[in-house]
Amino acid sequence: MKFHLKNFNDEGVVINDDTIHSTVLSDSDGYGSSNSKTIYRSVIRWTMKKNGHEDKPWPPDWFEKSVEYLSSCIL
Amino acid sequence: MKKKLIHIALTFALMGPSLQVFSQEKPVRIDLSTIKTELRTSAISLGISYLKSLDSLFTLQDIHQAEKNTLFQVTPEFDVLTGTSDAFSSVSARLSGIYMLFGDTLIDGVLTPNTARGFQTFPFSAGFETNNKFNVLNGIVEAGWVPWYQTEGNRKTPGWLKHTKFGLFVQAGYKFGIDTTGITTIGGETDQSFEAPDHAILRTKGSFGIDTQSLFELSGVGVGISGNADGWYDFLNNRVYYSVQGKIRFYLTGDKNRFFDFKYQKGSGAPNFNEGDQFGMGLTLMF
Repeated sequence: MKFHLKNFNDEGVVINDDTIHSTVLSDSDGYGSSNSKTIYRSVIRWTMKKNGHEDKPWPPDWFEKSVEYLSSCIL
Repeated sequence: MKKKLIHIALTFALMGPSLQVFSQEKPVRIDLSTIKTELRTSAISLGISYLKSLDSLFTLQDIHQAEKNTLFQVTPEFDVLTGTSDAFSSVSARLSGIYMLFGDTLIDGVLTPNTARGFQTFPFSAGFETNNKFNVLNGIVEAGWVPWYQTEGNRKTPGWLKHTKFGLFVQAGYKFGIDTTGITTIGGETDQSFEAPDHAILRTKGSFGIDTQSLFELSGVGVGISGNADGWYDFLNNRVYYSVQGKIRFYLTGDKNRFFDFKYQKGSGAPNFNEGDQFGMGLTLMF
């Protein structure tokens, strides 16, 4: 997660377990579904599936929560 | 500061009834603008962009396909831009998704898409676009190409270029002749497109945008500029339409979720392709 957040981080936000997703990602930095919020979610789910993990439902409030919170929900 | 607080309070009061209609527990983006139009009429523009994840809309979370170096995901989307008097207006509801092509890499032994390098995205959507009088209704299928070159890992890409975005799209559909409202539209609500009712639609669209984020701080408020330009070529009527929008943006918090805009727009874009202009100010809050 932190690897991908770093690659979408265009404002120098400190990336660690406490980073809030909405401080880095946005749903308006691209066109339509091509935005960092959708792409981030898609690539994390791809990673889960391709590494043999269960593709668990994401919590509705993940965008406003930290990396650690999301990890605890989907890992 | 007091004036700003009053303005915010007023805008909340005005948008209250509309919010009830779209009340959801999912992320909601609210764009509320007081707009001065070309007809010099004060107007309130309320835009709600609502994006709901598959997890909550569908019983099953998955319309997500993971293949070697590709993925496919579908998301429903609903956008409203409406206003009083002659302000620009549009409504769209669609199922949108993304197809991605990327390289992969190992991070701590875990295979994952290599977002440190550029990758290709192909957004698509199918749905309807109309205005807030519902006297125009277009059924539209859109597919496009949006290269993702902004990744921070692309060290050879100039910094300013990472604040831009670019996309090419093809749009096809049908314009339904549903106008039984008897409402005479004025100003920014007027349908000025050459697309005739009960006829097919076939356009290509090019989009370019720039968002500098916060360039500098003014009394603790981040200031940046944002601009978008869209151009359409209407194959069936041999016409060109365009929409250009520029904003000076004041970030009220550091997390980009609350900002205040002074903006100017020339051309409404789809579905009306109104050629008028409007300018004003707006507050956006994302919950």
